[in-house]
Amino acid sequence: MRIFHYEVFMQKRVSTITGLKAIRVRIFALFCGLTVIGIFFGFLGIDPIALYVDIFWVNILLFPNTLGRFITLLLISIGLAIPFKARIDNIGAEGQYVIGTLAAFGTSLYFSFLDPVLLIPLMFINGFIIGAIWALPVVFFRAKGGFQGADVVASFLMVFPAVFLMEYLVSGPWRDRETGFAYSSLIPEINRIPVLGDLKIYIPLLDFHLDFSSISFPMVNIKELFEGLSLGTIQINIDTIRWDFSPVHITIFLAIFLTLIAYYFIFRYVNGIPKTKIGYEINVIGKNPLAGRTAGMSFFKVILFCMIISGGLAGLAGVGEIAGNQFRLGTTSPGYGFTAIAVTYLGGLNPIGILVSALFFSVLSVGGNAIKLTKGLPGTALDVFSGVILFFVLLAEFFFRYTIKWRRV
Amino acid sequence: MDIVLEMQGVCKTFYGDGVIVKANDQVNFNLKKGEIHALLGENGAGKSTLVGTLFRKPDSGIIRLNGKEVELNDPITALNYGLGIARQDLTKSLIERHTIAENILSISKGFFLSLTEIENEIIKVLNMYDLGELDPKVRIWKLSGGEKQRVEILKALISDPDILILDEPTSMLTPTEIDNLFKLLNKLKARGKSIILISHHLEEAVNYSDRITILRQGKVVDTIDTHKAKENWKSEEEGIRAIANLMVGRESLYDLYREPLKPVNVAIEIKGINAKNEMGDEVVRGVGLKLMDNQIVGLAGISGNGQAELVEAMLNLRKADSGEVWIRGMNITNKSIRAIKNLGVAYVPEVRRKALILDLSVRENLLLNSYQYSPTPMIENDNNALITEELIDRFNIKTPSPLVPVRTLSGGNRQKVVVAREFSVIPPDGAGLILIVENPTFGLDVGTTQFVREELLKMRAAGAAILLVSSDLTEILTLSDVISVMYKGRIMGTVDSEDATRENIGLLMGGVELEEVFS
Ligand SMILES: Nc1ncnc2c1ncn2[C@@H]1O[C@H](COP(=O)(O)OP(=O)(O)OP(=O)(O)O)[C@@H](O)[C@H]1O
Ligand SMILES: [Mg+2]
Repeated sequence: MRIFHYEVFMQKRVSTITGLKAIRVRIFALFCGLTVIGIFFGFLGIDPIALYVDIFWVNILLFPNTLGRFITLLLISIGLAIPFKARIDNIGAEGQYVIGTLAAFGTSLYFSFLDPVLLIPLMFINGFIIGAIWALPVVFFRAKGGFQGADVVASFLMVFPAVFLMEYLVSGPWRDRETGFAYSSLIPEINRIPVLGDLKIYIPLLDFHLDFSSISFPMVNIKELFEGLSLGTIQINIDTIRWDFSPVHITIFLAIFLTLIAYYFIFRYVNGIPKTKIGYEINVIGKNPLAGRTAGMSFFKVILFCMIISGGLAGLAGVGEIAGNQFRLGTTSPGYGFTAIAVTYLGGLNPIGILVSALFFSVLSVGGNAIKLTKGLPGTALDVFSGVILFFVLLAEFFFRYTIKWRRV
Repeated sequence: MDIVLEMQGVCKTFYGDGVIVKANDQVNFNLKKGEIHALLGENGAGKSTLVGTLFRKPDSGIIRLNGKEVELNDPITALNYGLGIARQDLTKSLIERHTIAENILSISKGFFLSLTEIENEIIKVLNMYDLGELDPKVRIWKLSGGEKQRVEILKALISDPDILILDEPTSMLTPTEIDNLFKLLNKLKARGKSIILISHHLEEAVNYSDRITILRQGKVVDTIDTHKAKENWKSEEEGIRAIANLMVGRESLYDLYREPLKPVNVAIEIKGINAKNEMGDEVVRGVGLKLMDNQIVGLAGISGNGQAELVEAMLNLRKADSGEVWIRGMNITNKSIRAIKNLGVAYVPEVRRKALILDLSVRENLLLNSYQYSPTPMIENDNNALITEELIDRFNIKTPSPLVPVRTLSGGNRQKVVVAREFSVIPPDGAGLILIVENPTFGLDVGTTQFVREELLKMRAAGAAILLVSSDLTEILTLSDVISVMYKGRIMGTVDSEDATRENIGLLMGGVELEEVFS
């Protein structure tokens, strides 16, 4: 391409940018994304700086809510990172998530005779299994169908039956007769996943009880700041802020544990070699399936593994959200499965990066939701957020491999 | 004679994984009008990089065409200046999904392109230069290695360049095709064209070049006048050795010795295999073969006569329509490739794309077999790292670090990675190795070729059963105990190496029946 006297062209890098430098580039991309969104909101007559500052403080105040969202996004994203690494594009995590929520509710409904100690684990098991089953068509179409892109099509198409099934159940058999809206009944209190709000941590030696239900701390020095904020309907007790940890269910420990497991066994390199055979096979299949096949790897097995994990984790996320946070089903799908795609790429297809990016998107989402109420923005403004961010992140991916150069001609 | 191309102080450095590779270091090179100038050197010496700088300018250095300094910023500029190149790495220079004509858009003129025009032009040029048959409408992925190579040469020639650069053009061609190519080069030379020839077949340089420039580790070692040097060399053989010594910097070529062995155990036996190629043509027709421990069976034949498909069918990488494969008395027909490989089968495929993952590191590529040696789902990292270090060392793979992507290695060094990995397969509990190699010395320099052939003989002595599929007759004749010749999907005959000569094997390869050859 030629611009005035300069010729601009792209060139492949000798070695792909990785590690610290990659993180720097991603942060830069993020910054660019936020700037563009800022300009966009500027046109809508909203001061972007004030918007971001509000988002920040809303998240401080509603930190437990942020964490609650984080659990869901983290679980789905970790699941996505694995097939993405094998170059299987599972874009239908939303469907796998939704079916997970149904599994949780159904389990609570039909196995209510079980003791919660058994019932709650059973919810997770069912959520995992059904989520995984929902992901299976991808395996067959991709491995046996033999055309690339079958994964994209199959995974996406499976979103709709999941959502329709949810709509049917919620407006039909599972409908709560007491409310006028299409909601299911609430999951009975004893069958809910314990939340941090009523979890008491006992640390033996120190003989110290930590009660998450009411962590309060004085906010004397930033008192003025809060008074300057226009947080609208959100009520702030300015002298003490209480964090109510009830949106944070103990699935968070499961999510973090699974993240570490995935990192340890699949993504981690020791001496330039992945730690497990399956981790290595995912690498090889992702980069050159033909060579993998010639070496004796089973394409089918690798995809099967990836999709079971991916669908399963999305299912777990659904269970956590319904049995730990919402307690009832609605008829709309929340789109976490789609947001998670952005989360996964922003995290660089790496569990540790995903921890950070999942937190980032939770901040955006919780902040955005609160702002939505106060600034009168439409709900879809949030999609603009994640869309733009994803765009810049993918652009950064491009720059890891290529550089733009120019020279005088 | 006028100098058409002059390169002065050319430097090109690659940065990778914190390591700096000076691929070209102050190279001076010139090309006279109407000469064939051979550019020789070991794998990774910087030959491809040097000619590459004519199409994407070097980091520093001056390039003059006909005495005038030029900046060759991109391939199109170079093309307009009258440079044409047939590259070594065809995966990069030909687009597999496109047809031959679509790959040769370089000659299209004006804003609109007419494929029919290009197709006609292609046929015209093919006839004019006697490059054999090619259908311009065929997609690249359907072609054999040799055909692809001819497309690449055609692509370079079709723009009628004044300076023609051929980077290992003959590595996959048949002897006849090679003869034709050099006849053509001589004709072009007579018309005043200048040619740079990169090759590891040193006899080509000795026989056809006017001058030879030798690179070693990115620097020019010497430029010699072939005609003058020939007066001192008593034979072609001596010339080759002299050049090889210059390339490597020490005595490097000597005769191979194949000790007589008496094979007894049948390692692998195939019976009546029929198989089709991608287009659905029956290209393997009732082939039977027997391979014993302590034996090298050479499968000779002009490439594209079904050898590759036969091997794939044997390993169940391709569906066999009929036939059976037995390994050490066990029927393995339709067993998975993993199960077959676990019986101690190693395989060096002809197509490198099937053996290398270019985006993964040298180390990860080297452990494509050994990663699964541990009994648990875990990989033994330290052990495998050690194994790969040893292989890099033993096979002298030139890489700045085991962690750089294979993509950054030179053509020959990529091949070394495959060879090193497959030659080091450990068969289960003391069984002999079954090694199936297709053109194992493809793209390797003379020293390494020698080394690989020696390794093959050593493995044979240690009990391995080796199927050597090669289109290189010299290779087949020096290494094999038994030679089977394949022609149009059939085995024309199996000849003991004592009775085999270049002539009679050549006749069989051309489709003459065994009885006629030995009557
Ligand atoms: N894109 C690249 N990135 C990093 N290093 C490279 C790259 N291309 C080439 N090199 C390095 O430059 C050196 C010279 O490579 P080059 O391909 O020119 O060798 P060559 O003489 O053509 O060898 P061969 O006979 O094997 O083809 C090698 O050490 C190689 O590893
Ligand atoms: Mg080369």
